[in-house]
Amino acid sequence: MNPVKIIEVKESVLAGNDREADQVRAQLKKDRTFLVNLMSSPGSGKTTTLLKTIELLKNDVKLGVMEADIDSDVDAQKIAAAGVPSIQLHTGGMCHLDAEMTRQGLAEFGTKGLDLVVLENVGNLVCPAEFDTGACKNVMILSVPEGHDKPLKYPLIFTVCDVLLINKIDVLPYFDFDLKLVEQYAHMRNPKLKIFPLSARTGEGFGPWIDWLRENVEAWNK
Amino acid sequence: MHEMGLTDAALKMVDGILEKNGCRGASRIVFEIGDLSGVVPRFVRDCWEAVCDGTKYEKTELVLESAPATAECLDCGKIFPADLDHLVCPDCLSRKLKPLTGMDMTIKEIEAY
Repeated sequence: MNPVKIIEVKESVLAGNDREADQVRAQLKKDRTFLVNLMSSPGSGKTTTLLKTIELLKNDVKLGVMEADIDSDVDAQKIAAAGVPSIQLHTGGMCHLDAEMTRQGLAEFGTKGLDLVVLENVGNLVCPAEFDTGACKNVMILSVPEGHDKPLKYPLIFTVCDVLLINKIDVLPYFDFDLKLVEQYAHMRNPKLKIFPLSARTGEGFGPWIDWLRENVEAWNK
Repeated sequence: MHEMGLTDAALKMVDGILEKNGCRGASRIVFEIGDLSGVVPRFVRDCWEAVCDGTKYEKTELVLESAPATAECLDCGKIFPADLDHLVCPDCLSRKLKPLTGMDMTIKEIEAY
């Protein structure tokens, strides 16, 4: 038997994933592909928001979608029906994607020539926030029915995101949802967070979000 | 239940560290769990058992230590010990806080052979 030795590590359990994520980003930079990691709770309207975004961008931005779910391919089918290349990733029961799964997904998908790839993460406000996927920017959706207190209850996801889309603003009159308060709470966690209220159903408010996407795709792919 | 993903990530890290150090296994592993990480130690223990099932770590002793957290008040600048149940500045009662330490779950050390 070998002698026992103590290895002092003092490293985050996520350090391995973070290194892998940096490699994914370096490859994306080389390939001139901008990867957005889209996160939210289940039912916040990720796929509907994505479909509206595709409709507004697909004529001048070459885009693709990677759908991550625990099971099924209903989301990937909806995206494919919109005329955009998509791939469905199954996380095998895991509640999030990590950098290794993202790397495999990108390789399988073949992203060369795509300006923008949106990774629709598993619906969850906790685990996806902890695992860097290697995306260039993180975007989250919070929908009106979920309530304005979410930045207080799930602080980490608001901290790691660059953009917060507040979806379903068409139903604001029916909910006790305070738009000003949610902005205040979210900025408490992350003063740099960009907030775009919109409705994927009516298309209201999409202008600033689409502009942000165009600017960022251009800046990354230059 | 982010403990499952974190524990799984930890196991992959441990595998890599043992390999790099030319070791075959571990008799003891110490994880440090920050007070602001939102990680529940007893869930980590359950998840660890699950991810180790059928691996060389089945007999490895798992030690979980807690790591104190600090936060900074963005209004008055006070730096104070914080945990998830007390997210308020002790001086000015502001809730505009920036966590400084204790957000992580870390691998502290591995007793390897």
